Amino acid sequence: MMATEKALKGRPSVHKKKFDELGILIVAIALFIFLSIASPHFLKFTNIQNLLLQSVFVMLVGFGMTFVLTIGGIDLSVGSILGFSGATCGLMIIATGSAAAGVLTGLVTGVGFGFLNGILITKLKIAPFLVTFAMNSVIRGILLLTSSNGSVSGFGIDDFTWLSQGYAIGLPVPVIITIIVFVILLFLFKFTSFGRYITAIGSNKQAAFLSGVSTNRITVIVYMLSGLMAALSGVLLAARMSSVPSELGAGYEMDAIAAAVIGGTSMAGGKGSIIGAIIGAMILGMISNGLDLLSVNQFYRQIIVGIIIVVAVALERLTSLKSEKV
Amino acid sequence: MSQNSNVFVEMNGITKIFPGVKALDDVSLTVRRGEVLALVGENGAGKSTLMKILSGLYHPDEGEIKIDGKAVHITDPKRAQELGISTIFQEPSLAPHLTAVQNIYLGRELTRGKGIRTLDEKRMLQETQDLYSKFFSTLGDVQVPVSELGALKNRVIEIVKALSIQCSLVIMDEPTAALAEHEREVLFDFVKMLKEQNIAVIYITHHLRELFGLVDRIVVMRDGQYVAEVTSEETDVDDLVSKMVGRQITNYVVKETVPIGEEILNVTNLTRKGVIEDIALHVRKGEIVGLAGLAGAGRTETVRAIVGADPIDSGEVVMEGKKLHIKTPQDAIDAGIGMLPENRKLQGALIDMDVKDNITLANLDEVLAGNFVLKKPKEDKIAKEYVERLGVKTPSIFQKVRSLSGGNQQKVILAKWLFTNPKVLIFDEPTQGIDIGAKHEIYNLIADFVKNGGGILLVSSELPELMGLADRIYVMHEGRIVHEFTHEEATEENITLYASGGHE
Repeated sequence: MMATEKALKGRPSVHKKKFDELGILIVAIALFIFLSIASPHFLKFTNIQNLLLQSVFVMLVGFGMTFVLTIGGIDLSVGSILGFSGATCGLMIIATGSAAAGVLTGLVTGVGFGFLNGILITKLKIAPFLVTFAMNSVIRGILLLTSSNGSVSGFGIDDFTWLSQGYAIGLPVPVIITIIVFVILLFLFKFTSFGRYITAIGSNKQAAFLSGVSTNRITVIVYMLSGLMAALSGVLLAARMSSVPSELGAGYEMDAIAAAVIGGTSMAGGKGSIIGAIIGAMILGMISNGLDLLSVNQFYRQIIVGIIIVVAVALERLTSLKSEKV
Repeated sequence: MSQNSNVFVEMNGITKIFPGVKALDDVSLTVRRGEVLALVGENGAGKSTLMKILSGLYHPDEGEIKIDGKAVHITDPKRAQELGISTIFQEPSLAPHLTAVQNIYLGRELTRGKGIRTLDEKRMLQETQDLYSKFFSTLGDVQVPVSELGALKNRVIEIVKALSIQCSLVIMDEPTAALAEHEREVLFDFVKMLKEQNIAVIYITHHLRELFGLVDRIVVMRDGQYVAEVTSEETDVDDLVSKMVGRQITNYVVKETVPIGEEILNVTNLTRKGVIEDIALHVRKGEIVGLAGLAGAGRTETVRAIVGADPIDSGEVVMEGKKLHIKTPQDAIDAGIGMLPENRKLQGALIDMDVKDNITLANLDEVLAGNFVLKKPKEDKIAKEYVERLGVKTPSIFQKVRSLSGGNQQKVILAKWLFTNPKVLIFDEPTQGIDIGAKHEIYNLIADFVKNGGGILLVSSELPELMGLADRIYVMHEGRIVHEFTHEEATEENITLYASGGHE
């Protein structure tokens, strides 16, 4: 026992309030510097605005995905929820002429689908992958059926399009909305019991349950949050395009997962980072933007994104292995 | 002992060390062809470890194994099979969606044809049926998925699988565990048939009564050591039990006298069908109540049912005269019941979260401003208090629990439950795998808790611990409480007797 005591004292304090996202932030900054040098247009104010605007739609979905991955789940239905919520939002505006009613309808649609995901996962105990995979297919199918001519449009009233095309304090409105959402979610994640519970469930669901955490209730709420984030992204995209093509949002689930994972969120649960999701989404945005500016075929994006995911996860694995070997 | 040409396996001076534990200490074992040899001992006596070495899953640190007089290295299970040793493990190991034939030939399917070889289903079926008819009068359901068959038929398939490999020795680790009484009889007949075929059997069981009339020799192990060898004629259950328990009961737990007050927890008629039946127990203020039994007797299932971790079919839990409706562990916490589960790492601690997060988890409401926002400074302060009070050795409250020793992990979990202000604490194997020093600290913390008027329900497989701490001990066997001992009445012998079903 003396030996253990001695060993504990002799060991340097492992706890440093280290900035977990540092590694990936350096990658992002390196990419930023590279693009600034490679293209004279990159640093232009309009391009930066553009870059932000391109990134926020994935970023919002990535926030929700970060919560889902942290509890050890996955949400593959966000792409379809995004498109569907954009469509219900548009249809409501056509019906009522009110932007507020439309936005509210869109958001409620997303939360509703998230609720359904959560109930199927917790009550029927079906794997999240399967539930949300199936949900993605069903929702997209309904969207394709209802928008018979390939899109929903005719809701481009000024009140509504301002949400995505307007500017405030020099920034596009969606960017400001994203910043506000980020602050709220960061607070939720780091400073509330809800945030603590989701990390606990992802770390060890059984232990959390035995400690009195309402694992099912929290799980349902997390999927509702993911649905809400997808819907918000969908509403803003609808406002940006003044139309909702029936394929809107397809593939967003993969970008959202990529943003979260690049940002250091673990697919195994128990570890997530909202700041990381921002950095991840910005990296994805910079790759697209950079390829455009450099007139490189966009198909390279997929290859580069794939490589970055592997590198980011490998980096994370290496550093966490190191910190385990106290 | 005269040199016997009939000897099949000789294990000499086998020692196996796991981190912190000497699982086997210089154990020797001889198995003759065509004999049924029983291996008995308490949980942790080293029976399974010894058999895992013989079947190639573990490698001994010291000692040698001879087969037919030749020294061999059993590198893996495949090598063991080549040497003629088949093992039927305690846990069912059939692939549920495959048929008996497919399971029996799994990994070594018969094929036919030249070039691209195809499965020879016909020959596999034929040979399976031949095997069955060699041992059993009736043919089994060999062509339906094994998940559709009962526990007995699954056991039989595992036996046939073991036999389909040309073998001279079959190891059976708790083969009757999942079987009903009459099914056991059928299994015993199979064992006798194996013997007639000159195949040796090593039979491991907790049910001592099974051994009589079935086995030739009984080898007793205790604490990783060989203790004794007897024939079934010259022994009985009581004698075996005393040999299994054997050790001088070292009085390493000093019982403190605490005045016992009124009843806090009262459980009646607690039933979860097929798992636990009609459990009735109570715990009083200042009292430590023990729950003894063998692995699988239903102790863990009982405490999980009490705290709402598993659903129950019937039962009543009364706390200080008030009937409770416990549906989830949260309800139990609200009523003042906390449970430290067995298996610290899988169920107790959140090992990838820090000490502070673990301590406050079960009572996070205490550190909230409003009903949502964490008061981090208050949380840190509470965590520090508990770390000091319980003497948790950690560099800081921000340390990940993973990097703490087992004893300190257990203290963190105990801190978590103390922070919920419980009236009753349930401990399920609280000192499993932690060293003697830390054990004593845990015992002291348990004593402190009852001195302050709490009640404790203690599940433990370590009888000296249970007998040393508990004021009363309930003994469980096959899902029921079969006896209740006072502190004075309880001896290792009579607890083990009841736990093994020996009273029946």
